[in-house]
Amino acid sequence: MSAPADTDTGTPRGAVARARYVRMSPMKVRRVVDLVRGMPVGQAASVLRFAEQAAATPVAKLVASAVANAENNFALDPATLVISTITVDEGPTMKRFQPRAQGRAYRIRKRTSHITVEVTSVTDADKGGRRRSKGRTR
Amino acid sequence: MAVPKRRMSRANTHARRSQWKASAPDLVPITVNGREIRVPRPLVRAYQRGILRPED
Repeated sequence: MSAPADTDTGTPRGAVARARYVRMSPMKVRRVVDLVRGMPVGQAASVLRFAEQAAATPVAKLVASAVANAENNFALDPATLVISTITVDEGPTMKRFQPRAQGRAYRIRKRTSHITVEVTSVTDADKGGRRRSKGRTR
Repeated sequence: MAVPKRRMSRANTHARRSQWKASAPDLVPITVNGREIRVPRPLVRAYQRGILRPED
């Protein structure tokens, strides 16, 4: 897992955290993730704390984990971090069956998600000129 | 029971799904114990009176 590095010096400028096999459907998690994409991590933490969706809890934990990675592994200042990339991928689906009339069976899909967060350190110098255009990545 | 008469186009499905967005909670910055925190407007008084505490 490679951290985003500065193109000039090669020093890390961000950190990544990944939550895999989260027992929530990607559609529902993406709805929450879209709220905080591009946000400073402090602001994202408070939005996720008070967001009513159930998926806000694992996403909040993951953002906190990415911030901790940046702080402890790469010695970055948490105050400068923004969520540069946040994506939700689909994990394996567990299949269950709901018995129906006439001997039929309907399939129930218990979907799982893999969530990836990348936080990048953005200083005031970057905001002026060569800030990486990341706000909306889609 | 109402049932769909026709198959729905992919474009219509995607157009409907793209409108299904969460709205961010309306947070206001307040200062509690010398620290600035952002809380929902209906909970501002509760935080100021100490009924709710910001997590540490």
